[in-house]
Amino acid sequence: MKKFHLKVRIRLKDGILDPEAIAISKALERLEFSSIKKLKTEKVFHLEIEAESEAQALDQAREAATKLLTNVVMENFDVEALS
Amino acid sequence: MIVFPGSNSDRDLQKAFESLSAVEVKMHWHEDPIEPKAYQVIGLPGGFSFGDYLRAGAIAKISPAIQSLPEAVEAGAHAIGICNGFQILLEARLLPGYLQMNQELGFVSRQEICRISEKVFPWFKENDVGRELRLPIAHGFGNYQCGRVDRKEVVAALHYEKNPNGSMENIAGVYRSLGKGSLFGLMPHPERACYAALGDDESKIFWTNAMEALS
Repeated sequence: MKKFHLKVRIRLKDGILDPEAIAISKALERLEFSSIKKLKTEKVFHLEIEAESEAQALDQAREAATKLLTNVVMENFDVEALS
Repeated sequence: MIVFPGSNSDRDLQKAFESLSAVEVKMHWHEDPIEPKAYQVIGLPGGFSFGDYLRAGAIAKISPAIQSLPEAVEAGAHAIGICNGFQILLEARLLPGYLQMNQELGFVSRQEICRISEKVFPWFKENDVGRELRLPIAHGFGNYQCGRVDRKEVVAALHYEKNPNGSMENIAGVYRSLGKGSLFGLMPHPERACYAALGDDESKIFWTNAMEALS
């Protein structure tokens, strides 16, 4: 068994209210960052997974993301192997 | 009454049910699975189960009690999820849709006039339809949205008169039949408005109707 480091990124689907992004965007406007036209927030989980292969580790991370880390009704996710 | 770490309306709901002398309430810890036919009514209380970590209701949904809930409902239990209990039913995908943050971004804690829109067993009778109740609300994530509602299976049974949170079509509560039982999820807190001494006892009809229908 090897250890793999994976990153799960979770973001709200388009159209879901993201009050944190709205508040930060307004603060940036107040600082006159007029060039920043759009801002979105994300949630990131770093996982250390024991598995036979990277593919198996990725599968486990995807399963964890689908079953718990993400509410697939309102969020999208992607999984990336870091090492 | 299913109790989670962080539930805070469990005793309110227990007292509301126990205000009917014939009702016996058992406080059921979330780590214990629910035996089918153990209960006629299953309450999922308001509060902040598991501190709302991850998402409201996300961790509660994998508890043995919630994992065994569909089977108990199919066997004939009627589940009512209030506020955080509603969030848990949505996270468990037992009701369709999701709750996002209130449109105005703030936590709302006040009384709202709600209208009973459908007859739903055992909570609302035919002649309750159209009746208005003044119900307390207290939530930050109460903005109910649902892309596609299969209206044959799921009905919006309770509506706000004035929308406090941006919820789709002013929906305050949704109801679904499942097997011999049902699931009712709502944001308002009827258990906090059933004592005349506290100013409002109109929502006693939730409990009196359920008792009448199920005895």
